[in-house]
Amino acid sequence: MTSEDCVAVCGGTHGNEMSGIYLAKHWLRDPMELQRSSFAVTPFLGNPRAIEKCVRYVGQDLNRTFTTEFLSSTEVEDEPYEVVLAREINQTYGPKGSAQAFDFMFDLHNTTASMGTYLIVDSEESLLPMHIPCPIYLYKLPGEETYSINSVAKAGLGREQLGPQPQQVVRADLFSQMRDIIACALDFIELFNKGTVFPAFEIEAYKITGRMDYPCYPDGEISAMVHPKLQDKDFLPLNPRDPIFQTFSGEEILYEGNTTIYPAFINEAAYYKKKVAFVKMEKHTFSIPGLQRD
Amino acid sequence: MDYIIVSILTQKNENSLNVSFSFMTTSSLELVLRNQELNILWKLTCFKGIKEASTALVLNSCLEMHCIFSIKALSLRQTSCMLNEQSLNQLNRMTSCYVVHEAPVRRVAIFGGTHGNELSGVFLVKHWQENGDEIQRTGLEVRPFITNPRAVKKCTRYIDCDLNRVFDPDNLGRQITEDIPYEVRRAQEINHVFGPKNSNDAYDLIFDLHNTTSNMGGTLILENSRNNFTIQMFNYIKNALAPECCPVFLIEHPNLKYATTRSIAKHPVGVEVGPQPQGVLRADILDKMRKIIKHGLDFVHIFNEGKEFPPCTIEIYKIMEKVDYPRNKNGEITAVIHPSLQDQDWQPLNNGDPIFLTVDGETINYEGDCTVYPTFVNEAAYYEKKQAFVKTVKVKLTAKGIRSSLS
Repeated sequence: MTSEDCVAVCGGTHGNEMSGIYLAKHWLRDPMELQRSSFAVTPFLGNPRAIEKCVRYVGQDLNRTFTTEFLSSTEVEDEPYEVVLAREINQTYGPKGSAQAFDFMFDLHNTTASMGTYLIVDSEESLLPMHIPCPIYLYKLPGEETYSINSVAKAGLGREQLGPQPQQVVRADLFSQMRDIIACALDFIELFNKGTVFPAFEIEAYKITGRMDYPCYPDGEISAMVHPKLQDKDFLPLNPRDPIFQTFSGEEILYEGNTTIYPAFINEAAYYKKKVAFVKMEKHTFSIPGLQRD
Repeated sequence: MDYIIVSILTQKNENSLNVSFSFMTTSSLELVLRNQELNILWKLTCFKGIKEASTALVLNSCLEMHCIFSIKALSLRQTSCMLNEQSLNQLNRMTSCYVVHEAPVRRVAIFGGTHGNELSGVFLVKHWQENGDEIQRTGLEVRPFITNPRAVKKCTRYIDCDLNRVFDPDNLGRQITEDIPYEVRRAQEINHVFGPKNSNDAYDLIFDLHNTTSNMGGTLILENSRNNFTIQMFNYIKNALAPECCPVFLIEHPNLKYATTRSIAKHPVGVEVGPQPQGVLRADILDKMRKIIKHGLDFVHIFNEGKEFPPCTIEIYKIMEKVDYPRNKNGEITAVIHPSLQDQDWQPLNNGDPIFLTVDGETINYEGDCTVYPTFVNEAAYYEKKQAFVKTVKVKLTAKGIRSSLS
């Protein structure tokens, strides 16, 4: 692998996920703490209009707009704000898939789910991200095109997910944690650039396998809530016949799968629109090859 | 005349009345104090001369006593007579003012979705609109109602302005024009159905359901420190939920009180349960809210049936002042709630305790000369209202005894 020269850090891809927004604003005023000797780090705010209104997005989810379809479409009038924005970001930090693209991009997010700190990587084949010392989960379903903002950069997905934090709220503890993780990741890249050898190792990581929807009434309204026994149990084993939902009349709905899974994004506010209650994951052990700069 | 009553003095305590007599008698007599059922409460035998005596009358559920003092001569010639009317009336007034006769509560509403992204109330009201068995009580009409349907549909706090701030006389009386904010128009509609505010036609009681991102537990919000009915209800709910805590927050304040949706009712009750993120529905938080409503409705039912609730005292938190985030000259927030204050709603905050943490890692401490109890700590919706937290002080509030006037 060649050295990482151009690294971008993005806060506010979703305008109501505050840790990244406050951090990015701080770094834009005072970039000292981001600097390393062997590479340049550029902080930026992903979705300025959504940030101003403190909402997830204005027209459509920016973090789903980095597909070929949107990026290569021609400009028309009345396009959603985020489509225009995605093309601009692709120009500045990409173009996606080209040699000029930034080497790496960290994208900072929060979740209302109790997920602690996770780095989201697209697949175990993204070697450098897999070496970063942080719990990891693997996000891309097989055959899916990448669509998120950091797919603009060369080296796979690097998305920090910190929770639980309500939308529009800044919690000091998560703010500090996110800051520390970015510092740690940048230190790692610095070490890599300087030629450090990172030996092969085994890692346990979670890999997404699907999504679990809320039960709904015929009119589309959800008819049950995440069960109290499942609430806040992200990344803990969910076994067949464990309760997953509770109706408003108090009945329990049980998990009907055949194998143990590991749910994440349990009760994420932004997923109600899509009626997704949680994301299903499997735990795998991966053998990660050693890493060294060419 | 055999005797002269020189004076009767009464002194009220929480549950009793001290009565002191002094009188003069020229012959032996027996002073007997009886209640309405003619049970003897107190007896004093004395011989001629000037006498002073006192007794404490314990007031319990039989609060409206008519005290009959009879003074009998101990000689063979027995006479009994009442004390003069004036002193008797005085005594009656002293005892009977412990119980306030309140009109029975017949029309109750439960509001959800005053803020469209506070989901516990939204889903509870929608569920009760489909199946209202749980909220029915005999002798009461209980109407569940979504107050801000457009905000609920978009899962946002409000469309144009905060519905929970526009029930003041100016907004309620405003002329409807094309560009009137949606929530002001809606407030007038709600006032028409459940009010009019300050009239006799207004609903008796409204429960207004809210969530907060702050760690406030199940908080009951009181608007008026002299509303005996509401204070008695809160006392009942607190006892029913014990040992679980149920803080009571009094928002009565000349500047800080706001014109809430529920204020159109004679007895407004705010129910604020957290922590829950906006746009999220937690089963445990919904359950807590549900229990509060259940006990609230039970109280109304028992009250209507004629039960007398003796005077009670509860500990409450009274609003003192709002505290904004530190900001720079561009108005941007420069510090966040300190980790030591985060989630510490209703816990004592003393002079020198940390409250904010700047991005550079500096701590800003609380400076004040008395212990305060912060609440609404880091509420998402209050960033725009310039409120990092609210300072309260602990106060004891007493309610008079109450009883339904129809029983």
